[in-house]
Amino acid sequence: MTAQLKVFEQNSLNEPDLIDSAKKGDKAAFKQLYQQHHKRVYALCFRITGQVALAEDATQDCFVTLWQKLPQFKGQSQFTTWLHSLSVNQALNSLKKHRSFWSRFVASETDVETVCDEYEDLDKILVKLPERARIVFVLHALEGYKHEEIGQLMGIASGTSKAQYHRAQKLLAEMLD
Amino acid sequence: MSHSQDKLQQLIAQTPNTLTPERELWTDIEKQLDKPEYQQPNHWRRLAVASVVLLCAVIGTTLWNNSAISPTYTVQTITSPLLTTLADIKLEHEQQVVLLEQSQKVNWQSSELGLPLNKGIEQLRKAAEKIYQTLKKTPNDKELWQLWLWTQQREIELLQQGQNLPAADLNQGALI
Repeated sequence: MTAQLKVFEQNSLNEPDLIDSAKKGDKAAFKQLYQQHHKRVYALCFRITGQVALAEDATQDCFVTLWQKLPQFKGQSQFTTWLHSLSVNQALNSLKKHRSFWSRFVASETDVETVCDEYEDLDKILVKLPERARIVFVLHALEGYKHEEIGQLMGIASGTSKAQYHRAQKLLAEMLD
Repeated sequence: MSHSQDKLQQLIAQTPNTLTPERELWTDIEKQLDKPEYQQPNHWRRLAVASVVLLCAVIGTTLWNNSAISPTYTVQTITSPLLTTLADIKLEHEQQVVLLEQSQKVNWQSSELGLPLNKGIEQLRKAAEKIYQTLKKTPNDKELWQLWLWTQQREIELLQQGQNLPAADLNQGALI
């Protein structure tokens, strides 16, 4: 635990320097930033997209965008907060590009089997939710977004976000019964 | 349902913040880092391109029309009956004007009341001449024909109106 904390502190201390170097085009520094944050970004992308392949694509797109937009990061907010916001937008964009008409209303069946083997409890059942309900649930219950913020991100009313959240809760509860 | 709700809350609390991707992603990311950033479409550039396209279309249309007119003109100068008619009507109108001027009994042009009328006639003649020159190039233009004939008709009308103006008799000076 102490060793893990030490590594964490070392990474935290190095982060501003890594960001500065990456801004100047240092790929090695950027790779270190990737190594520090890619699992968090992937988790977010996977839970939003509900598909392994799409989550991988979204994660890659996210870091490419990060590389391009890094010079715009002025350090006014925390880097992790900035990256989180960028990742959510990227995941939603990737989903928008790839989703089919029907997937908006019914859950994607394709990855359910593989996900059940690979992932932990909640992630196993999250992918069974319909797309909108899943995104709202992930953003509200796991990522702490307010319904107004979710509404803005997804282009829906905050009331719709609340309704989707309750729907997701009900469906998940039924799955757990 | 309450039990499942509790279980759900427990699962949410236990859900890890991170997940490890099933495959290595860095290599593909690194390949894309050197690619130029996608730029938002520049509206000024779009506008400039649209303007150039529009300009080309206008120039093209003008050239096309000119090339369509020019050969017709060269041929028509030799053979077109319309051009012959045009010249005939012009000649006929000039003769009519001469006759009117010869038959006028009063020198209304020199009177104060006749000045604006005279100016109007001059303007009509200039306009008629310009229209005539254009008609020689585009003898198929019906509207231009109508306009030209109207200017001639109006000139005759004004000349006739001038005759009715109160003015000095043309022979008055001779009598003195």
